[in-house]
Amino acid sequence: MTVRIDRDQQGHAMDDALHDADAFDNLQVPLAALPDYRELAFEPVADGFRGYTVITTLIYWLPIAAAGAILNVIPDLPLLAGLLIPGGVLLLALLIGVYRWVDAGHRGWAVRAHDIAAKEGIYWRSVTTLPFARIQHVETSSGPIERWRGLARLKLFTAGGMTADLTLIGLRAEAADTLREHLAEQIRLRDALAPDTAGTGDADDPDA
Amino acid sequence: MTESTDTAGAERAGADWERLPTAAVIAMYISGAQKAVRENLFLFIGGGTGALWTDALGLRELALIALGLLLIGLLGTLIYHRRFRFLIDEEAIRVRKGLFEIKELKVRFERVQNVAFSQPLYLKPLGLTRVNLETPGASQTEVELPGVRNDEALALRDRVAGAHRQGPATDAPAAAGEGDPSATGAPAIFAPGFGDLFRYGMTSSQLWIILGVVGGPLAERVGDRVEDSVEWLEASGLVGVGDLSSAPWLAAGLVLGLVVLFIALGLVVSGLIAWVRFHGYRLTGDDDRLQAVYGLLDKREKSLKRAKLHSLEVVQTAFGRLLRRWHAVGHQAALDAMNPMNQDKRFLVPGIPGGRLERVTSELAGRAWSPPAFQGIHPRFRRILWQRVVLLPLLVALTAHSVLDSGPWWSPFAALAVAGFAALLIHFRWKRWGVHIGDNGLQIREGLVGTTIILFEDARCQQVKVTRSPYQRRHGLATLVIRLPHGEKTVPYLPEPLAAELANRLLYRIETSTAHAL
Repeated sequence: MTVRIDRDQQGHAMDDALHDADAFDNLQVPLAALPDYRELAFEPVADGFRGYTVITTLIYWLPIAAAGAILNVIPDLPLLAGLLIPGGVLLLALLIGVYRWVDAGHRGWAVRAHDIAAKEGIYWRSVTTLPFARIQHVETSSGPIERWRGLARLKLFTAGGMTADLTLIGLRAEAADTLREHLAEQIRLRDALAPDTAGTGDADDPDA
Repeated sequence: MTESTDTAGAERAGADWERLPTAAVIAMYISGAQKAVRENLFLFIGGGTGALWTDALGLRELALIALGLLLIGLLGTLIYHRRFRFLIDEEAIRVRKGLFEIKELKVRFERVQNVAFSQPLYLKPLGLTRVNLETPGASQTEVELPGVRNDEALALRDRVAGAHRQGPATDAPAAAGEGDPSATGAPAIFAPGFGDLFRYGMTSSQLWIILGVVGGPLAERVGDRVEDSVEWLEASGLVGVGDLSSAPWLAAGLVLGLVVLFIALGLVVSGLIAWVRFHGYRLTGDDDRLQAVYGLLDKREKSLKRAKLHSLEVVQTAFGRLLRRWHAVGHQAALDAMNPMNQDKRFLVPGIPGGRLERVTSELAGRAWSPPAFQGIHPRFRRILWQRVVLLPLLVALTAHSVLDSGPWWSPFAALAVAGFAALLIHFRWKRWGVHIGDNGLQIREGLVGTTIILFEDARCQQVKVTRSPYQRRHGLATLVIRLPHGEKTVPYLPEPLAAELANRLLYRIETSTAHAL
C-alpha cells in the first residue's frame, strides 16, 4: 500500500491513512511533505478576554492594596511606609495586568483535521499540539466573570493524566461549545474505528 | 450505587456473586492498617510526638485510644468484608464493595494491562493471594481482591491472559504459550542471582532518598550520642580525648572513617533489602505478555501486556556505573505514575549486568536493541548555563567580596571551586543529553553521572510541544517536549528545523496509527 501525500491533498490522504487498518505498513512519506504545525493560522482569543484579565487582576490585587491602605490607621506608622505598601501593591498589580494584557495577544488556537493546537507565551513561546486520537474526554468550564464576559475554557484530557493536558482559555462560550461537540464527535468516530478499544471506557459502568 | 440497588442487583445475579473467604478478613485488616499508616504517616508521627509531649495523656489513655481505633478499624473491616462481592464471567470481572456507599465496578479483561499477585507472609498459611488488576486511567477503576484462594487467583490470571490472546489487537497466535509461562517451564529471559540483586540494592537511589530523609534528625541524635560518649571516655580516663584536639588530622580521619562506615552500612542494608524484595526474581514472557515472579517475604507476581507497554526505560545510576549494573522499567499508562507511592506498580527488572543489557532490553522491547549513537544537543545549552548559572553568580560573588572587603581570605577560592564544580556538572548533563531518531521511534538519553535511556514508538506519544525562549529564537534553536502516558520527556536545544521535523513526524505517526494510546 502506498499513501501519496502532497500539501493539497494531505487532508484526504491523512484521512485514508487513519481509516485504513494497514496504515502502519509500507508508509513512505517524505518528511518535507508532512503537515507542518508551523504553518498553522491561529485563531486569536476572544475580544472580551483582555477585559477579563484586567478585571480578574483587579479583583485579586485591589483587596490586598486596600488592606495595605488600612494600615495607615496604625497611629505610629510613618507616612512613607503607609504610602509605599499600598502603592507597591498597586504597582505590582499594574505590571501583572499589563503582562496578562500583552500575553492575551500572544495566545491562540487552531484545529486541524486530526489535532488541536494552542500557542502561548510572550518570551518563552510554545506551540502544543494534541492529536484527537489521544483525547480521552473534553469539558468546558466557566467562572462567573468568564460567563459575564461571554467566555469559556476548554479542557482536554488524555490517558494517564490527573489534570487537563491542554487547556484553551479565553474562548468565546459558543466557540468552546462547538469545539467540545466537534471533539466529542471525533472521539466517538475514533472509538468506532478502533474495535480493540471501542466501548472499553466502562470500568465504572455498573451492569453494562 | 446505593444499598437498595445493590440488593436488587444481587437478586438479579442470583448466587453467582462470590464472597471473599472468611480468612480474608485478616488480610484486609492488616493491609488496611498498613495503608492507613502509610497514607497518614505524618499525621501519625505528629500525633504520636504531640501525645508524648503533653501531660494530659498518660500511657493508659494512649493505649485506650489505640485500642479504640483498632476496634473501629476491625468493625469497619468486618462490614467491608461482609459486603464485598465479586463475579467473574468469561470476559469481565465485577466487584461490589463499600462501607457506607456500595460501589460496583466492571472491568473487562481485555482492558486489564497488569495483573499483580502479592502474597505477604501472613497470607501464606491461609492459602490466600492478594490480586490487583490494574487498568489504564483512574486509580479508582483498579480492582483489588484483598484475599482470594490461590487456585482462584491463578484461574483469574489465566482468564485475563486468555482474553488478551483473543483480543483483536493481538497479532500473536494464541497457541504460542497457553497458560502460565512460568508454570510451563518457559525459559527465563532474566533471572538475577544474589550478587546481581545485592549490587542493584546498593546502586539504587533508594538508599540516598532514605539517607536524605532520615539523615538530618539521625545526625543530630548521633551528634548528641557522640558528645555523651566523648564525655564518658574523658571521665573514664581510658582515652585522653583532649589529645585529639592537638592532632586534627587524626580527628578528621576518625570522623571520615565514621562517615564511610555509615555509608557502607547503608549500602549493605540497601543491598539486603533488594535481595529480600526481589528474591528469586524470574522474568519470563511470550509474544503477548511479560511476567515477573519474585519476593522472599512478600511473594509477588506481575504480568504486563506487551501491547500496553508504551515505553521502556533502561537506567544506570551513578553508583550503578561503578558496578556496571542497570535496571529496566516498563511504563504503562497510569493515573498517578509520578506518585512515589505508586513506584511499586512499575514493571521493574532489577540488577541487569552491563554485559546482558542488550539481550534483556531486546527481549523486553520485543525487537533487537543495542545502545545507538545519540545525536547530542546544541553546545549553546552548555554555554548559556555556564554563563547564567556559573559565571554570573561567580562575578557577583567576587565583586561583592572585593567591594565589601569582608569574609575570610579563602572565600573567593571557595566560590571558584563551587563554580568549577557546577560547570563540570553542567558539562556532564549536556554531554549525556541526546536523541536517537529511529525509523519508527525515538530514544532519548539523559543523566548526569548515571544514564537513563527511554525507548518509545512515535505512535505511543500523547502530545507534542515545541518551546522557544528568546535566546533560542535568536540562535535558531528549540526545545521539544514529548508527553508520554507516564510523564514528559524533554529534548532541549535542538536545531529548530529538526525539532519541528520531529514534532511533525510524531504527530503524523500518532494520527495515522490504528493503535490506541491505552
